[in-house]
Amino acid sequence: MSFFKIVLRSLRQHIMSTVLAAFSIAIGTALLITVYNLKVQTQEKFESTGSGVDAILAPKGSPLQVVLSSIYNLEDMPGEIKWTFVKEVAKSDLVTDVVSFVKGHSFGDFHVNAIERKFFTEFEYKPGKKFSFVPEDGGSGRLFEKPLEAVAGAEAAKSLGIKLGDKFNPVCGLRSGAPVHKELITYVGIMAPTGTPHDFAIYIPLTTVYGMEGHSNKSAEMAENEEVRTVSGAFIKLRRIKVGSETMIHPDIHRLKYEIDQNKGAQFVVPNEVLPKLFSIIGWVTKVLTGISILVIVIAGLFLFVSMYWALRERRRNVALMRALGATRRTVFALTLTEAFVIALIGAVFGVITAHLLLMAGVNMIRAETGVMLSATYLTIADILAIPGAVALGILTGLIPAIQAYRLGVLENLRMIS
Amino acid sequence: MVVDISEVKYSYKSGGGLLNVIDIAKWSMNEGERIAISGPSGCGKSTLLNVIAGLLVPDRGSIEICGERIDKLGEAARDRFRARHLGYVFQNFNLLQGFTALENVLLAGTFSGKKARTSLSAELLDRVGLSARMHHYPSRMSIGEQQRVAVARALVNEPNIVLADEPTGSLDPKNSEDVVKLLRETVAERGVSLILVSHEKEVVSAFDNEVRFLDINKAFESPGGSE
Repeated sequence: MSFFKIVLRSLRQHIMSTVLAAFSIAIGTALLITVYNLKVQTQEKFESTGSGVDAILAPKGSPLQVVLSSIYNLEDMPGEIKWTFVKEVAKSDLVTDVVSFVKGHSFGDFHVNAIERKFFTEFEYKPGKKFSFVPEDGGSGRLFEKPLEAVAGAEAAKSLGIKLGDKFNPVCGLRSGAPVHKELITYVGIMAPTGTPHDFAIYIPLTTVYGMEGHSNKSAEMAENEEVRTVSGAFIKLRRIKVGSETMIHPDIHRLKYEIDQNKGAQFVVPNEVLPKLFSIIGWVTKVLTGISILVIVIAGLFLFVSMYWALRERRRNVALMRALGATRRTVFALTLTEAFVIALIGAVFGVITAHLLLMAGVNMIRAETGVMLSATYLTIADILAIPGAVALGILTGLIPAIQAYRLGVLENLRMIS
Repeated sequence: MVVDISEVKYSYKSGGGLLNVIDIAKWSMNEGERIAISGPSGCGKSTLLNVIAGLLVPDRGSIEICGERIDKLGEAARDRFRARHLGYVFQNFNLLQGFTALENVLLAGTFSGKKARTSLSAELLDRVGLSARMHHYPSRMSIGEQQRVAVARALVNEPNIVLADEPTGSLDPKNSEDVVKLLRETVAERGVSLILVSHEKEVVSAFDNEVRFLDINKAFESPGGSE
């Protein structure tokens, strides 16, 4: 009979406390992995999503709101800026391209963004990745060409059941109950999935928005007269320089930012500078959740210790019998410690599996709510450390019961037998 | 000789003084011999068995089992020696509850360091009349059946000596007779020596050689001639 079989038989003898101890370790491990995984993935995703956009020319207001609105479609923009100012900035030798956009419309929970056509041809949604409408990539139709045409992001199309040729009336605002424009806009294209928040938006030509019924006369004038035209903001692509084998944004970006920020009505927002602020804001939530997870693991460890301790009290007779049959002190020490090790190992393995099942549910929810696509199979350092960590905890908590087994007096406990 | 004891004293502290439990000048036992030790409760019968098993170390004297001075061995070495050379049958609660009858027998083999003895274990369980109950747990077996499993377990390592400490203490007369008979027969079949401790006259009288263990401060005497 193998050593391991003796351990398993012993665990089976106390199946209830074994299962409960393993279960509590699994819950703690799963919570820790899930919280850490979501934190890492969200951070990574937010940081990488904006990489196609170097900067945003936006109205004065919260830079975080600007980023969340323009890139992640999670907010409205804080105001408007003049079209002429955008054109002026575009002339800077540090700027290679500018695309203006107007926010503030929606349809079926999705933002309807009015944007210049070249956003889809000149900008990338990820480094080296351009927007596509070809069926091979999962898209269909084409990019809009006329004012009353629209293209839908892959997820928006899927969620709303959009087919090419379908029509919709945009809602003037981002909340339900806002007035609906009378213009019927036709879907002419569905974008191939990008894995970014662009999948969760609908895009129409920039100038379409000005002439919509229900907007003011001044707005209608904006369609024709560029002098009075305003936009919600503009995506900026900056000039890059080569440093060695790497390409990086021109260092004079700070001069440009300073000059723009002097303007009363505009600011220069760099997503990569703003996002860390977002993470510092949500950081405390992560810290609290991580703390709770660690607390659960500590409680699980204590539970394991208590169950092992009581199990040993009950099993003194068994240990004494084994000793009488020739098991050495080291053998009964190892048997008891291995029991704790096995419980912790089972708990940790189930914890990792449960974490990824929780992530599966979590990523679907996050995707539906924010458009940020996370992966349930993404592995972090927490996954790698979970099993050795839980096993170390198991060994630590099993140490005292194992020492007790080691020191157990055979004859005192044999008296219970003979 | 499988057991050779000389000048052995064992005492423990009791009520502020030392209580002499064992004081044996010379005693030995031949290979294949079957001996019963009787005496009143508390006279030191089980203590002697524990000294022979290496579970207790005498205050002085020498104990040689199968040619090995076990009083000179360290604790771990005594444990290993016990696993390899001795079989043990207790009064009751002999078996580990989470293990089947077969596993209880196999368990003893594990600690001896000998190779897995599944076929021998099954054969021994068959010999004690439990071939149909090999995979049953102790909770599903009667006390008499559990004692028979304990007999099989005591023999699985092919020991030189089987030590039985009040093996019939929890049994009714019928089962008691059966277990004693089984013990005597199985050890005889295998040429194994047996030391049985009992306070029951019926049990002791079934043996050819009876060694009476009189009382703690008197000499160890052997009417049957084993001294």
